[in-house]
Amino acid sequence: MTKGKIRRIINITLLAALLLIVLTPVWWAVVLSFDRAATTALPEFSWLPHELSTFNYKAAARLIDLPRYYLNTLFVTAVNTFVSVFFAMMCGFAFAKGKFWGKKFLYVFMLAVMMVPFESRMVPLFIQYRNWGMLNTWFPLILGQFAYVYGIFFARQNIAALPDSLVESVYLDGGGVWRVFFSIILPLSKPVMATLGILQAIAHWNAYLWPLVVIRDSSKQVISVGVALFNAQQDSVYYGPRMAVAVLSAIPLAIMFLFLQKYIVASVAVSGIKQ
Amino acid sequence: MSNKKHWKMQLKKQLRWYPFLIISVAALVLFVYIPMGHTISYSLYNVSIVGYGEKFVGLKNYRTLLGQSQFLRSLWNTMALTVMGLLTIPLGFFLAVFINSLGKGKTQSFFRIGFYLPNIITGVSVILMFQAVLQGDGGLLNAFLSFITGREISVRWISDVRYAKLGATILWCWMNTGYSMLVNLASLQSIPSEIYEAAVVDGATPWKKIRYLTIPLMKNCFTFLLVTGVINGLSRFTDLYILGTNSSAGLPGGTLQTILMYIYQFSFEVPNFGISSAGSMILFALVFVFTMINVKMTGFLNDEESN
Amino acid sequence: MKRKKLASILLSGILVMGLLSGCGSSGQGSNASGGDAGSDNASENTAVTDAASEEESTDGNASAEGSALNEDEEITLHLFGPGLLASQGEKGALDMITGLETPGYEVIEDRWNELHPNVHLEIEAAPWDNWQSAVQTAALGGELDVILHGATLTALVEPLDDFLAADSEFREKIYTTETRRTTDVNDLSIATTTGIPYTLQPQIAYLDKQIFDNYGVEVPDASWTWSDMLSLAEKLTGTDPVTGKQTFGVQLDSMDNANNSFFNYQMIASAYDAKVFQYGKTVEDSTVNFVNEKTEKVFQMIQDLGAYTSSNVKEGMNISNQLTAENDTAIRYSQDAFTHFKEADAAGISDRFVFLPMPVIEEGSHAGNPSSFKGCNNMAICNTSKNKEWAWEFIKFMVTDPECVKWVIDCGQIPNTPDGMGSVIEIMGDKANAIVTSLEGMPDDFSNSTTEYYNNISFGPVVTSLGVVTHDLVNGTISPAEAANQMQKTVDEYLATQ
Repeated sequence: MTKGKIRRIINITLLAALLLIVLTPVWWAVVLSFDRAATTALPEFSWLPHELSTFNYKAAARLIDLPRYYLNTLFVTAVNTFVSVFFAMMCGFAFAKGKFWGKKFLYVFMLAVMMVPFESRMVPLFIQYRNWGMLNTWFPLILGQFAYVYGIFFARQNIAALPDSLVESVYLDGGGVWRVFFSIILPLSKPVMATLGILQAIAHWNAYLWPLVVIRDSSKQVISVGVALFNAQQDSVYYGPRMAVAVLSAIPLAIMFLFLQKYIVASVAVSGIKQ
Repeated sequence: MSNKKHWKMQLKKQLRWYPFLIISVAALVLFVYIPMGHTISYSLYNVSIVGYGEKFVGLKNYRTLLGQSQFLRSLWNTMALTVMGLLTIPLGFFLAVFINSLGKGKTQSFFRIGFYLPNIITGVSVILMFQAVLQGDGGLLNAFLSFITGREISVRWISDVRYAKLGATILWCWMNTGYSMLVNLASLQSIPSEIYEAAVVDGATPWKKIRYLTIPLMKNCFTFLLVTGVINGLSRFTDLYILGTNSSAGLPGGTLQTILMYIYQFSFEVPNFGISSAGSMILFALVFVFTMINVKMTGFLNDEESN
Repeated sequence: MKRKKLASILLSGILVMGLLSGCGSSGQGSNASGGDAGSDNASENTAVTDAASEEESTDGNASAEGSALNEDEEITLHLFGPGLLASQGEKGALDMITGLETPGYEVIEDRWNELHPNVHLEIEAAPWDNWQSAVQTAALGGELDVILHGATLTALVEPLDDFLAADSEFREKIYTTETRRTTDVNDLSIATTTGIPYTLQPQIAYLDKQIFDNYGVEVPDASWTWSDMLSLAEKLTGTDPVTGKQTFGVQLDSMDNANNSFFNYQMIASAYDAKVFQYGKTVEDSTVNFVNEKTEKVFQMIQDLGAYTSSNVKEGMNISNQLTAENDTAIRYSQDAFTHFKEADAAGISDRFVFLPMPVIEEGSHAGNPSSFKGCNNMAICNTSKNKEWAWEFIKFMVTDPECVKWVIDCGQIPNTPDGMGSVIEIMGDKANAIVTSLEGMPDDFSNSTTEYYNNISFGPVVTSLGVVTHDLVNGTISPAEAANQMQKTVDEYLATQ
């Protein structure tokens, strides 16, 4: 008993030490955001700011329309996350429980492009949106999310693990596939949706190149592009304000993760990747 | 007659599934397959900037790429970095084993959140700071290692040709081990405890339990992480681009230039869209072949039979 | 077996998609997915030719009547790109070093609207990160008139020589223009004007008198050479005899950016007149020869200077060009001399630093002038613009209007007009001499990115390769001869693709 306790304490100490190391850069980012000494060069590492000040936050608010970028990003991220996860669930359901012609082909047809690098199709995609007159709107940011391939794959694995008997019972009651989807699959898939949701939210919140390219009107721009405006010159960076915005950006994601994290473990556990 | 009716019913039964897929399939065709088709066709042309003149050159772009030392180097860099990046799997596994041994509760979820945090914070800005972590002179990592070992350590993690890939891998592990840990942890927790109890009766040591019970049982989990890890690794770009001060050169000595950085260079910095499109297709083929080999070996995408 | 089938189905699927979109490319019609190369190209081309003919006609008018601008038509000028306008923002910024407010570009907008109420300005700022991709796609998107910092993106911009020729008065008011040699706008043997700078950033050397004094070394004058710099750097690296602190001889410029570290190479190459590029009319007619004695001497100088740099410079990270009280480097050189002066002045240490022009050119037709390199914030006219005359009018306004010049100076930048330079001299005192000497000694087509020493447009990834080579030289991992061979290989391999 005591032996187990000692082992547990050693265990916790080790993990805590490791965690401290891993989180040091994150803590440093927070410190820098409050450090007046962080300008074009990084000041020496310190656990607390050299010159405590909220100047970086003020500078950030002065140069970019922070609330507007923040709201834009929040909106786009929310819509994208909802759209991508919802449609991934629909496809995942069809692939997991449906029996129809061409299922395998369609499944592989979707998965094949899980690995096409975005940069390689960016310019043709841009021209396409230009021809549709959708530049400088949020459509290019959103429309592509209707096919979230990794999510489809992940959702399929999870839904396939749900017992068929649940689905059959609805059929016996005379319900259709849509009722199965909304009343059985979605409620049981909260963990999957939480996992995909957080992955998508992180990705969309940090998206940079595509918003930079398709949106020119600064009133519609997202925060990651706004942050990049802090470059002093082409070859130098104002670290302080950049960190200030990075900290502000991380807050909603961190809150979201805190609420959803227990589902994430659950979803991985029920998916097809368990032992 | 009844045969036809049956067939009709079957058809109806099948048709109801398509509405679930149609939107995603359409989006995929419109926003992935068609642009990719354009990329394929551009790869057969001599184009500098799209929309400003082009000339059909057949497979010349592919031939020149495969004969260009810079491209071959970026190919090699990408593969080496990808393989090294798979280190996140064992790291995540052992981290998960430790965290799992704490038993469910507040402590466990504290560490779970803590180790996942770098995944959330990774924006451009934090990667910028990693330069200072991996710097040779006065870098945080060296300061830490010197403190631990009691000796002066001044490895230039990302500016010395010999260590650059290692330094880049440290960054990669910092960013991705959290996710690997979560997947491993979940997978560990789904192993029925009876299996371990039987082992305890047999008198197996903790290490033996991991070696002979846990690891074989986690095969699917590892495969999953392997596939996603390789796919992410082969398309590695943003962190190295920022680490190399917003340049696709891949300092030092070009050892950190990945295929995607090469592609980016020829898309925008030295515009030659034909060349970069051909590079994209080669990258795509590479990932495709890998995935197919994987599918064949593990039956990963095909657990139809097991249902 | 089954997998094989799947793979083949999938492959054929992709092929079919490829074919389908390939058919699209031949420009069948404008269906929803008509984002195809063929028709795009056609439309771009017509746009270009339309614009060209438009310009011809107005040029004729311009010389005949002086101006073809219609003050009554309501139009909108679209400006896009990175640079000063972007970093200042519309409402202004806080100066990071001094904490003081600097004005936003609304000053420019207000002044312009006063003069030309019919022409509405639409300024859209881009960050420096990935700016080339942003501008290229913006140009593809249409509705772009003025490209901020567009002079290097030669495929996208209008040649400005005809505009300049019709406006000799304007040319006399400014120091310099941005020129490039490229087949995009002309044949390679001709330097074509592609942009007009509204701020200038000549490379200036900043010598820390305190370190010189402590070591008992005399500060050189403007006639110094790169060899002088090297021997000074050698003397001034070590432990400061007075303070006992480590000092470094020199800080090479932009070593933290692989896309800009070629500045060092280009300045030294111009000093030694180490010609590499001989331009014919086309890329094929031109010869590139990095493997020669003079170029090797340039690489040798980079390597030698590198020995007296700090580890930050060698590693290419965490470098600041700011002049501070803690300065530990005897000789620095970089752009933004005016900004650095203001920083030092705010810290009360401006007397400690001597501002010198870069070392002199030792050989060739420009011998005796500083071997400076000039950065700038420039403006170019997009070649698909429908309002080229107004775009030109705006560029002239931005460069010469007193309000704009004042704005540029308020933002800590050097204006492109000798008139405006007067105000800078008032602020900087005799420290401005180095800037004036550099700007006046700079031939027109000399200091840009397509010279006989260097070309970053038509010969492949010369920029990034020079960045890699410079880094390796400074770190001593390659020899000057290997560096030359590596550069030659980069260009040769690229030319083989053409």
